[in-house]
Amino acid sequence: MENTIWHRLSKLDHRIIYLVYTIVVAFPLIFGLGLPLPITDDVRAAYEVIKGLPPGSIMYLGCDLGATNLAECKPPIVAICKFAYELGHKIVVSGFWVDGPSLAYIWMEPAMNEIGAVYGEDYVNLGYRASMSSILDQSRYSIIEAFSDRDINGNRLSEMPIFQNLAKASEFTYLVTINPGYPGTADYIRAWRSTGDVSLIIDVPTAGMITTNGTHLQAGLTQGMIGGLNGAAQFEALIGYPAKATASMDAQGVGIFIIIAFLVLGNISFIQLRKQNELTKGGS
Amino acid sequence: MKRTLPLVLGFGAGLVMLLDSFFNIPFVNNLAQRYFMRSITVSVAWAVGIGSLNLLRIHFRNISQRRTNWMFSAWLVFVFGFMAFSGFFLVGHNQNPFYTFFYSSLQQNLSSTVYALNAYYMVSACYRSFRVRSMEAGALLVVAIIVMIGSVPLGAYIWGGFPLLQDWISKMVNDAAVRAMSIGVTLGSLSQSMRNLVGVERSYLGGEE
Repeated sequence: MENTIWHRLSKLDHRIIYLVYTIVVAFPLIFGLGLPLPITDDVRAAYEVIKGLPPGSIMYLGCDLGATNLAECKPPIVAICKFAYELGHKIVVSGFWVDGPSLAYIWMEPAMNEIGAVYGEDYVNLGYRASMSSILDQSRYSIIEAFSDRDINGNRLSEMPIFQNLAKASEFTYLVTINPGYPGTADYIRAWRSTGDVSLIIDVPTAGMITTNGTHLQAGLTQGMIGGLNGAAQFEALIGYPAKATASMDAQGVGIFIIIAFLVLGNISFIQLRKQNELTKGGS
Repeated sequence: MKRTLPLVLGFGAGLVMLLDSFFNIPFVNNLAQRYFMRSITVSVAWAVGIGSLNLLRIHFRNISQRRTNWMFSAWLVFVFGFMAFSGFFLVGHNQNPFYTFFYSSLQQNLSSTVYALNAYYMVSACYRSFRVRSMEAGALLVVAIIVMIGSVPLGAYIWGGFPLLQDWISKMVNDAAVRAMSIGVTLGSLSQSMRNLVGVERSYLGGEE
């Protein structure tokens, strides 16, 4: 009785699980499956909002994230910045997670250099500041004062061309917030939307936050949502710039199916063992 | 006096911030923005510094008393010092090649690698721990599978209805539950804030009641 297939399956070595997962996920990562990507209404709404804004619009890009979010957050940052620049928008980056603005700087620089964007004129990175609520609130009156007139590299904001037409938060045309949790979307809504300063917000949460941040979208507090790697891949497809997110989606899809397969297999063996135990008890 | 003064200060500051949020009173708005908000920024910046010093103090103690795994503390102190030195004192500061190399090529990649390992633990945990022991667990399993399949292109490729089902579960069922919870949390925070403001809740002052 102890040597049935169900017993062996219930005691499956975790190294075998890891190995199967690695092999199956590596295949689409290396070769790609090229599966069609359906576009959701949330991502299309985000795309339409950004696309509909006139040249010269100013985007505040809130990068409240850490290095752990590289896989999910780098692709949308790069795609959104490229798209915004092509539309003639200006980009102001900041963040209230210690690593956020530094990572955005590292991730954005190659892409912005490649498309010919000029730092200080087309985009600027304000760097990290402690205390999100007070900085955002002060920015309603003066961004330069709130950020102590310094960008991420210590340059004076007041001397940059981008700040000649930008004094306070209400002059941001729209806000894009990329975040895996708190502080994040809800804090921007509280600080700038509920006060009437910024009315257009595009939410870019990680996959784990889609369920929470969906309520903001449904309530009309945000105007579009590019959720997780899937959302980023859809956005890349909409702007005609298939990149990292698109390449990773096939692997993520296969990875999820492996998780489901193990989930189902584990439960089948559990149910079978329970049946066997009941039979044994009944027999004795 | 030791307790009354902080309570009065807390009430006064809270009142100014409340009035600033809801009313356009130049004196109050100016006081809130020019003084209180900047004070918060300075206080939080100091807290970051104090946190760093406290971290070093704890690890220096681990090293000096040769506690278990003290060598990890020594490594932490070394890396802390190295990154701080290269960021503060080397030419270019946070653009210095040393700093950018260790930040971009090590810290960033190590962090995302450790996070990515979660996928392996999730597969293993799904296989070993998620058991359908009740009707509720069964319902959770079915919903989880639908949402997972509906979230990836492969799911839509198999059957176009998966994304629609996933969307319906997320927007109708999940949003209602999340909204109910967040309204509950907000009401709780509101009542807690009022208790702090009027001095009913005094635990933040520390010490005995």
